[in-house]
Amino acid sequence: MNNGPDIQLERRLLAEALELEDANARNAYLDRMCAGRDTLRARIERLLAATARADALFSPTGYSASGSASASGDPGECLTQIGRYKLLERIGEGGHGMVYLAEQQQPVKRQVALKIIRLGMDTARVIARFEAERQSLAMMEHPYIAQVLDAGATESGRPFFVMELVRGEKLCQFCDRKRLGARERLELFIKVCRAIQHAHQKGIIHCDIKPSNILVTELDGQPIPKVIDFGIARATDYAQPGNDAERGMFIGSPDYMSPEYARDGGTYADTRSDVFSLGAVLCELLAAALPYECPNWANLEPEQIRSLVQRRVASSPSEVFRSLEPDAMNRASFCRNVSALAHSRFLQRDMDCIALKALATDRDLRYDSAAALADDIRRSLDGAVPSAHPSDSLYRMRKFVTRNRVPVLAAALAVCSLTAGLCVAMHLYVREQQALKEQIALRHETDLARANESLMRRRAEAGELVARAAVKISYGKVAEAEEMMTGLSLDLVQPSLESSLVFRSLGEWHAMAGRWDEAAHYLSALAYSITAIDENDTNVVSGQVLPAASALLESGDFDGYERFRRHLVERFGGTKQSLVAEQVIKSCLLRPAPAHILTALDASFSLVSKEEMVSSGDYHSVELSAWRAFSIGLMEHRRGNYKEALDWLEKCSASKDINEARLCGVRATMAMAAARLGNRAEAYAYLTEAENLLQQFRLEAGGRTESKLRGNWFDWVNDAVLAREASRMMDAR
Amino acid sequence: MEASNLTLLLNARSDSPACSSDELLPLVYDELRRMAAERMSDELRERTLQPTALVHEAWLRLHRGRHQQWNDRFHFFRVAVRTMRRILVDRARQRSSLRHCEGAGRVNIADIDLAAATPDDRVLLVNSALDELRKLDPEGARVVELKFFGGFSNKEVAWMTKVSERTVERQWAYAKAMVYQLLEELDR
Repeated sequence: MNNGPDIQLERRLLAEALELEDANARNAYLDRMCAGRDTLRARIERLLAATARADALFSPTGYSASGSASASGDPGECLTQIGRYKLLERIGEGGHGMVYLAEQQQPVKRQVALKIIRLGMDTARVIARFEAERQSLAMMEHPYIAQVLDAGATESGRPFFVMELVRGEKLCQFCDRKRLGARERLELFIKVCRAIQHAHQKGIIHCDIKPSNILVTELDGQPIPKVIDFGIARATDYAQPGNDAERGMFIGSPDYMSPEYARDGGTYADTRSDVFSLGAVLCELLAAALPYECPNWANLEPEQIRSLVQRRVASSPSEVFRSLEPDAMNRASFCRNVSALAHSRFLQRDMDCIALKALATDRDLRYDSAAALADDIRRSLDGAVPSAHPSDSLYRMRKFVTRNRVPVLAAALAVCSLTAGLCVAMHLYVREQQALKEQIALRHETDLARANESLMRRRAEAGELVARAAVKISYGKVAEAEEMMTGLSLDLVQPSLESSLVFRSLGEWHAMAGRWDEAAHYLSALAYSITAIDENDTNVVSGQVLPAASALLESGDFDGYERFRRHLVERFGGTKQSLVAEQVIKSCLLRPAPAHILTALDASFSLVSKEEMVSSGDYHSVELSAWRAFSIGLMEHRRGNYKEALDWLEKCSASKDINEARLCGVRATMAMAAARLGNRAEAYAYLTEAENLLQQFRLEAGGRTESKLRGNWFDWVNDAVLAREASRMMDAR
Repeated sequence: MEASNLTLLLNARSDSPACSSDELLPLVYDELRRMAAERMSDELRERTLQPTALVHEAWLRLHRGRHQQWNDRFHFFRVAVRTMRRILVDRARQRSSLRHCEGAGRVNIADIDLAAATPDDRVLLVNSALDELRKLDPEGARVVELKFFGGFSNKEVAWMTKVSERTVERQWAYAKAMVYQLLEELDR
């Protein structure tokens, strides 16, 4: 009879369900009351779901008259107020949501930009993600970056972000209005790259670089870019709901998106994804259009967008410019204050190859940082040949010798040898009568091939792990990198810049935490690999050995240390660089040395001594001279020339260059020399001074990473090693 | 809790069932003005319409027929609230048509951020669902008019409609959710 809903009943059920705050209790209640009435149940569920938004709609506070308390709802609270921000006016609308001019009221009153994210996403996760990056975001301080100040949720449950307010014009719009020429545009673009590089160094990837996120203001007639929205794309991307239908939602504009970002989202995006977007912006800035076709994304399914973005291949800026419609080309030339022909030639000269390198589909072929991109543009502006230029042989080499080739080649080789081995084995099976000897020999070969295959595969896996760990480290996630690397046999890792970074970072990270076995593990692997691949006689290479020596000794691995110093004297014994010689002497003589080591160091010793004789007393060389005196003194001590040792060390401690770590080592060595000469009182005085300095360092460095005291961490470790030796020596006497 | 002026006023007039608007004007003027003030946010007050002007306008519209007789003690307020609603909606339409240049149109509920919706947007949204709501839930529609457009408290509405406060609460909660749902349906 009555087909309409029973309002009375629904009203009661809704009210009672709303009183039950616990979701389970609510469900149980509805189960009981709506048993067998699915339509009713569905209607109540829908009403419940609408309640929060409905309250926001009806919340009378938007009207509340000041002074008189509103009779119908909570007084005083204004809906144009979000947290401690008061919305003043709408200033923009972007892909993510709406942007408002807002006023922050506490702790300081100032105007900010507040962005409310539009998409229905998991607010808690967006905010959690933002909180996770907040520290790094806070560390970003750059004149060309607008700071993200805060994040939170609105009453209706949407995430919002608060940013430094930038009153500027979008990059392309600004350049066109000002009719900036190509050079001026590039100067501005370089500034943008510097800003992005700064963020990358702090471990922040933008993930949504586009001209509308680069605002330009003018300061004293100079255009100043400000990159906005840092951290927002990433925070929102991470918070995408997990199931596929919803994950399909697209965050950010596909126009400037790198192929790998479209494929994997933010999970594996790295700094090179931003380099790609910068390349797209560069092309638009110069050629007035994007380097690939951009369909109307709104008509496409997320999956279609994804596959289009992954497959598109960038055209060069000059091609893009030449294929503009005549009208558009005229307008673009006018805005760039140049003739179409001249502009096209300019683009062809260097910009084509620079933009294409930034826009490479394979990220290994791109510039590895925003700074490298900026440097190349700078080179071009200065009239030099940019590294991306195809005439540059280095570029061609790099293009062919990429990281991926190694595993691919290895796998191909392995498959071939395996197949060969298999054929041989079959052949043998058929002709069983053949000589046993031959069979054994062949089987041996097969085994070898198999072992080789396994080694190749493990190397490829190790390389992959190191590459991923390097990415983690570049975001400052050292612990996660360590987790990946744990258990990996480091001699499988092919030496590379990436592996050096990973070894050094992990080694130092462990050293700082006092885990000396692990520190020695990484740092000695680093020292061995770098001395093996880089044959240059330079302190860049030798500089990596001292931390390894320190870590080995501190971990108590004396056999490892012996092996290590034998390797060092072999590798650097014939050095022609006094700096290298001095570092090697120190690294090798942290413990008493056998005669063959001392002999092997003779040449280095005379090199350092000679350098010390002829050194001028100028300001830069004071520090180097002090270190030389220390190494000479240490060597004299190890040779048994205690008097000479004391003279040199005294000279070192009197240096104008103050370095507490060096002084500490000097005093510890002097204590040993004095003890050898029988001057116990003197020796005690030196040792006490060394130990006091060490104590002071430990206190200073205890809670903080920075210390007033000068010196590298490994210098202090070496001091401790020397001081322990001195104290043992004196106990023995 | 101190009874509001309106409640006192209603009490005072409840014994005389039929009275002319002329007699009522001085009595309800202040209260009507308070209702008007509540309808206007700070920013609105700066502009076009002062609360007093709104009251006068409401009064004028009420009195197209000069000697209207009120049927019962609440008739006047119901008519007054309905008139206020009409004024608010007209005004919001005018302003939003100025803003959007696309003729007076209701904004789409899914498009706007409710936390940041302007009072005009809200008035238009709620208004557009109210007639539909009246067909389904006439009591709820009356509560929405009295509370949202009239600014009356639950207690006042309860008193006027002769139900318990708790019932008003339930009617209000249900009506709000219904309005929101109706708006979503209108979007489709």
